[in-house]
Amino acid sequence: MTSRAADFLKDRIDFSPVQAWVAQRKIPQHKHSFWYYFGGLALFVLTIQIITGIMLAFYYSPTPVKANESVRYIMEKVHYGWLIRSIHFWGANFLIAVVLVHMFSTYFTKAYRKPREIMWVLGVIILALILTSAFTGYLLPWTTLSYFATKIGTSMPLYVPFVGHFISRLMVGGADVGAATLTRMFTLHTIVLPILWLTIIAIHVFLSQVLGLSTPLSQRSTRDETKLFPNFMMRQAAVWSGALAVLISFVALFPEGLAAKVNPVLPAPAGIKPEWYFLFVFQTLRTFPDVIGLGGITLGAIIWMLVPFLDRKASNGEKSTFFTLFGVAIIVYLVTMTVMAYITTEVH
Amino acid sequence: MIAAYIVYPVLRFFTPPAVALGEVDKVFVTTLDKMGLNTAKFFKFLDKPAVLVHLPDGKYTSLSAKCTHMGCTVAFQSKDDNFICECHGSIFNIDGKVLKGPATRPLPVYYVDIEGNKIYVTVKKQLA
Repeated sequence: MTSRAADFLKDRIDFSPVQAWVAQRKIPQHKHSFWYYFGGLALFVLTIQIITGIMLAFYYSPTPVKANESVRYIMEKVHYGWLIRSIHFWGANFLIAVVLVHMFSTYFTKAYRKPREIMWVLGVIILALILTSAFTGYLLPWTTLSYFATKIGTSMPLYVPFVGHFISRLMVGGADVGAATLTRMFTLHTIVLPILWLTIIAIHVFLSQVLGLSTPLSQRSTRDETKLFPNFMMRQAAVWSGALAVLISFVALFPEGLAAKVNPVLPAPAGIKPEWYFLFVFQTLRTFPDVIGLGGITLGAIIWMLVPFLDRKASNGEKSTFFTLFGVAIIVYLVTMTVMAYITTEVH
Repeated sequence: MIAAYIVYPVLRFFTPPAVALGEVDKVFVTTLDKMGLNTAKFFKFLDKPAVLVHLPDGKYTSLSAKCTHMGCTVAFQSKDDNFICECHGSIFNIDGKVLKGPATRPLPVYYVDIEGNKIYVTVKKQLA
């Protein structure tokens, strides 16, 4: 049957240019090749997120009255609803973790150097869009934590000079987080952001194929290569299988529950904290004055995005210790702030 | 120029119309018999959280309960007669003034209007 379908297509479409291109594709082989699998792994987890997200959208209602109830309905009534929602929840966490590993491995192997500067910039934008997707999706269950997380997130732009109030109002859709915010976050989460990141990811992947994968400066003497098909893709498939096993294990061992519906009038509960990927922002806001904290994070993100243009040594094929230390400093800051947020309990 | 013709109406479309304050500047909160001494009642006012407090000296006060730092709803601490924001730890006194940051601006104070047994809150005679 498969063979007949293949013959049917071959009779009508000439696949030989594609087959020739695939046959000549090679992937560099060296002691850091392991990091190449994280880009494909991110795409794999993203695909899981798209599929499970579409499935959840069949039952979800983006209104304050029905949002929490519809998620509860998915989890308690819909067949395997708890499983699909848990996969979507843990998938979001996995996706952010995998994209972070992909980004830092790219950074420390200096894969951003010429001619791949645009790929790096697009990659940083993709991370920002994925974090925004996580933020917009967080409100959808309409729980106390998701409500106050959104209040904080939509208040942050208020510190942006001139346009801050306009941006905040655009996000909230009214005087305070409410029905308008929920529909806006749902529209952003399910339509606007996916269109944006799918477009940018397509360009990112296209460039990776046109430019090929970067070999780290320390490994340039290595000339070993392996074929993309089937060698590399077989190993990539093994990585996907392993990741899927880990993801499903998390889903089975720690299924995501559903907190009670928020009462928007009541105060924020004690000990409220965001998800792990936003803890560094949370702790920064508690530690530094807002203008310094938010300004510092924004400036750091801009510098991070522009690193390929600042690191001239790497572009010239030389070691750039300063930028390696800059990367280490960023990781130390993120980890320190995250750990502090976990262990610090406010004493009143 | 053509881009501006397109961008302006699009941005205006996404910006929600402002609430006409004249229509909602007074709200019934509760009745006197339901407010014990040193207790607080949270309610929605001007589409934002607000709080009414029955002070130990018998007077009433009402403030916006929206933290001026990042917008979380503050909690009333009756033992200290102050408000705390659990999101980032800001503390405000009963007059709305900042006792502890990161918030820097006070909570807006509203006017309490008692008519018979009914307690109303209004913005017409703001104290601060």
